[in-house]
Order: sequence, then C-alpha cells, then structure tokens
Amino acid sequence: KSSDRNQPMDISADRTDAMLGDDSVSTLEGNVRIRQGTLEVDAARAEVIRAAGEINRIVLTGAPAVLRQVSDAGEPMEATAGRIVYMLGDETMMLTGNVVITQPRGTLRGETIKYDINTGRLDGGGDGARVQMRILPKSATAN
Amino acid sequence: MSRRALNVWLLLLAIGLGSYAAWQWQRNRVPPAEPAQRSDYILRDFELSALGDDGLESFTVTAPYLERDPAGESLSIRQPRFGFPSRDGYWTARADNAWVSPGAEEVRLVEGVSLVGPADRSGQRTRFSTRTLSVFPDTHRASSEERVTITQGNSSFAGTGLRVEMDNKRFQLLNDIKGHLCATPASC
Repeated sequence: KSSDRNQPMDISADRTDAMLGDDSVSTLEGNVRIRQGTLEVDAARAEVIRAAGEINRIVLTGAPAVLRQVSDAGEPMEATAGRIVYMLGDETMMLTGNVVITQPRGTLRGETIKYDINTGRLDGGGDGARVQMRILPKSATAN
Repeated sequence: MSRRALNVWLLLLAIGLGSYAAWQWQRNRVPPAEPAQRSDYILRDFELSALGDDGLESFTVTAPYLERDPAGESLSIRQPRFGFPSRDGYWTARADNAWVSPGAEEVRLVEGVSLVGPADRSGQRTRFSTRTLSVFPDTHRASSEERVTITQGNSSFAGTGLRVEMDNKRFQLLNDIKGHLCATPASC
C-alpha cells in the first residue's frame, strides 16, 4: 500500500555482522524478515547499505527471496526472485533472477522486473531476456 | 550476720565468680572478628590512565571511587567513565560498576552499561546498551553474552552474543536479531 512507506520497518534475523560508519555495509543472515505495513520480505541474507549515515538500499538474496504486498485496491501481490534490491530513496524494488510475480489478474515472469511499492507499477525486461505474462480472464482465479 | 545470710552471700559470690569465669572463657574461645577486607588502597574522584606493555594508553577512567583488592590486585570501581583509544578515535563506556583484572587485561562493566563508538563524519555514533560487557583493551575487543541493544541513528536492534572489534569499527550479534530500521524519514 502507498501508506506502507510511513510505517516503521521491523527487521529480524538469526545474526548480524555490521560496521559502524556513515558509509558502511551491515549484513543480516538467517531467516531475514522485513515487515513494513503490508510489505513483507523474507530472504536468507540481507545487506543494509548506508551512505552518508542514511540507509540507502537493502539487498536481499534467497532461494528465492519472497516479497509480498497488498495494493491500495486490496489486491495481494507475491513476487519471488533470486535477488531483491529495495531502493529506499525512490521506494522501488529491483527484482532479478528467475522473477515470478503473481497477482489475482495473472502472473509475470522475467529475469529483471522493477516494482514501484507505492503505485504497484511493474516494469519488466530491458535486459535481453524475454518477459512472459499470463493474464487471466476476469472470471478465472490465478492458479 | 546469721548463718543463713552468710550462706546466701556465699551463694551469690559463687554465681558471680562463675559467670565471670564463663564470660572470660567465652571471650577467649571466640576468635576476634576478622577485620573487614582491607583494601590495598582507595582512590576518590580520580582519573587513571593505564598504559599497555607498549607504553601506549590502554584506557583512561574517571570515577568517584576505586578500591584495589590486595589479594587479587584487581580494581573495583564505582560509576566509572572509561575511554578506550582505537584507530579511529575513542570508544567511551560507562556503567554502575566495573572490575579491572590484574594486569588490566579485562575491564568488566556491570549494570547500566553503555558503550559508544567514535563519531562518524555525520557526527553519528553507535551505542551498545546492555547489563554486562567485557572489554579487552590490549586487543581492542569487547564482548557480551547478555542481550544488547544497538542504536545507529534512528535505527535500533537487539540480539545476543555481541562481539566488537574496536579498531575495525565492526560488531557481530550471533543470535536472535530483532529491531527496527529507520529506512525513510517517514518510517522512523
């Protein structure tokens, strides 16, 4: 939901290996879970990258990493990918590596898909790999 | 004095002498109370700088009270304020109490512990709050097995199994991490 960005971001993991410093990378490993409003991300590993003291982006990897969110219209979305980069500045997620996005209206597959967590907009392709989309008729449910 | 009165007096005299003898015996039998653990020395409102084998500052501590234990040659300190030099500046630490091992290899901070890393360019410092923490000045390391809360800017998280490398400005929490990231100003 667009209101997700105003929610606190709670994070949990098995362990962390981190650095002090304005420009540093802190690693979280083992059952990494991020919760921010309706936005949920589960991954095996996460890198929290700070620039000038602010969190710039979070790189999540897993087999796969899983992203879930509910749109403002109340529609659930689930995405799986080998790698998810949460760009906090422009509030988008870059999903790469065997990406599958499942929504009630259908599924989208590709190698690189950009997801805007405020609008729910998806941009796929542009990496030379083909994007596959299956749109379900209104009456059918996504399988 | 009638014979009866005499007997009463003799009886009282005997009781008195007997009690005195018993008291004397009791006093000699109970070893004199061991004097309270004497300190080697006590310092009040002091500042102390400890040097390592290399002659460089190992740490500095200011506190209202310090007691040196003669037997173990360790130090017990109340309300200490420590400064530990590291490659990128001082780490400061405070607690309700501290114990410094003989030879100052270990500084154990107990109750109300706060360890703060050096400031970064942005002025931000990382704070570690816990119940007990051991600092090893010679190797510039610290560790705790208690639950530690770590605050970086508006983000904070907690876990157990803290390991700190002061020179590398690096820390690890080995178990059960839970926390809150201040990802965007609106989410803080």
